[in-house]
Amino acid sequence: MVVNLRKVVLISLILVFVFVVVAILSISLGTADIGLIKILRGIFGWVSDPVRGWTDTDRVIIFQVRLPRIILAGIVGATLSVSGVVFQAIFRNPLADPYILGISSGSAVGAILAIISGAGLSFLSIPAASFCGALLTIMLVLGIAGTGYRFQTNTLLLAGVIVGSFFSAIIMFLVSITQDERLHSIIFWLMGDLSLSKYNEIIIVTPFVIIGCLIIYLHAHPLNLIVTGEETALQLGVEVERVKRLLLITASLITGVVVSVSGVIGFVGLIVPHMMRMVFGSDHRLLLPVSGLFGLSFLVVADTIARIIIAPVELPVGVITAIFGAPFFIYLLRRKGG
Amino acid sequence: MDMIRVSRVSFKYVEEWVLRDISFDVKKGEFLGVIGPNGSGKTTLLKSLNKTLSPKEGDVFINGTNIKEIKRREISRILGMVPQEASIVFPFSVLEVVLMGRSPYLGRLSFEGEKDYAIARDAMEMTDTLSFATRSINELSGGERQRVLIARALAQQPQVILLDESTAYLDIKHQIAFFDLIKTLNQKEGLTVMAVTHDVNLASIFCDRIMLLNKGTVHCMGTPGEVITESNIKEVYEADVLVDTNPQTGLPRVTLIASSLSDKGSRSKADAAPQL
Repeated sequence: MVVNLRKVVLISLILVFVFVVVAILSISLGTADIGLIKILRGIFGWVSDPVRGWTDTDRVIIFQVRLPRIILAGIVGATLSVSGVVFQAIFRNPLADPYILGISSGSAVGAILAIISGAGLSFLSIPAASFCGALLTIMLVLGIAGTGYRFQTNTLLLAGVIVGSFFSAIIMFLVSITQDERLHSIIFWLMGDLSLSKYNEIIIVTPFVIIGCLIIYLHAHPLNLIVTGEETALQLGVEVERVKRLLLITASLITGVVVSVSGVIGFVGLIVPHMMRMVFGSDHRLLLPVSGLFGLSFLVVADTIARIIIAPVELPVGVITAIFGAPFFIYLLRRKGG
Repeated sequence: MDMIRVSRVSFKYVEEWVLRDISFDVKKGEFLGVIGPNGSGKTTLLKSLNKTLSPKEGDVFINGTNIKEIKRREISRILGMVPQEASIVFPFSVLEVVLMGRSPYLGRLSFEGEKDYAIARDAMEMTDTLSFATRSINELSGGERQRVLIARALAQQPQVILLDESTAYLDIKHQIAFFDLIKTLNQKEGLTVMAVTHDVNLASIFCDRIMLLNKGTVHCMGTPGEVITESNIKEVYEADVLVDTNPQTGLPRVTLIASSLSDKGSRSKADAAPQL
């Protein structure tokens, strides 16, 4: 599949359209049934007053509960997918994901400390603590691996695994000394949960994600070359070390940002890049935007399922992504081995 | 004018010097062969020319300019390199891989245009790879894949092509076809070629000059007749060979001597046996 600008724009527009459809369906579904017709009537103004058909309760559910959750799910899904593409490319390993450098564990330690200390009562402090954890992890991993001027990819991977397991041990420790209802909060955070999404979080997260994704997209073509081998990329004119460093830091930061508001939602950053690569090929000029845009819909669908599958009880969305993701991962492993 | 001038270059990865104080010139339009045993520094030397590696000491000049002063992107428009092999994990199509050769000419966010496609197509035609343009690079045989990498280097439209044992995995037909192609480009388009190879006979047939490397230094450099002699080979490779004249070309021809089959060899083997 050969990529050109027209193709990228066209496919992107289709995926945006898919997201809009998914979002509207998702708004209409849930414990309190609003109904698709009613939603559409409200949106397209089929009655003179666009909101006449909606009761106050409807509006609260739509605008205060479901919409922020859908938007945040979309942002998180898109970010993890884009970040996954970057990590897979830089490590030249289709089984890498955004958490491969231990960011998830580092964020979790921050979040858990906030929850346990009771600081979590003010709703922005869990994200803040979690993001600090992510930053600490990134600095540690890059510090350990980046001796001087050059990142050795394997060293980086090992550093990530080691820092990650160290933080995992701390998570175990913290979980084992926590007993009351805070344990429930911790577990939901660890599995990835979007039920408490707020507009404030969206407003804070969005600029980081947009800037990060732009930086990444500017390096889409160098990523193609890096994927085919670092020496080859050098010989084709790419400043490999600079690009790798910049993109690793950018992808890690936006991952840290979204994890801080959503918890550790697994498998999205692994599966979406894969599915997109299977369908659209490996050219990052197409792969990055389609992964981001498909990631929007993907996590919204997963979160909607999490909301309604055993309603009125809501599952953490991470449970859904893992249930679908793990078998897919095994399939990929088997395929690679065979 | 010298296309490439290497001045007192030394290189080490960690402790041991792989290249020691190497100096030589490559003339414009020349076909230079580089031979030498494993670990003599052939590949390292090649990679020092295009900034894949940075020499610890000494300088490399391209068209008279020190490569330290030239941007990587600029270098990649002048020097194309065909690696020994490439492991491309992700499923790029052959055409996509060849088009990557155009990247030194592409803007940051731009896509390949008509001209780039035309150049890629030409490169694929020359390397006999056009017929599997849409297949994934991962599905190809080693030889087919190698030809794709050659096409990619040609798509760079370089003035110099660096070959790093590029034909090591090709069968005889494609080895000859490949060197014929490079020789044609060398003669007709004035492409400068620097080819690292293990195949001393191929070097003898195609190269204007040959450099014989030994333990990171230039053992000798000259025409095939000057370099490929029994004594040079014996000294550098520590292997017994027979060098005679190829009746077709008048160039030196090397025949390997298996020590287990020759009289001299079996004797030395017998002498060595008690030590085992």
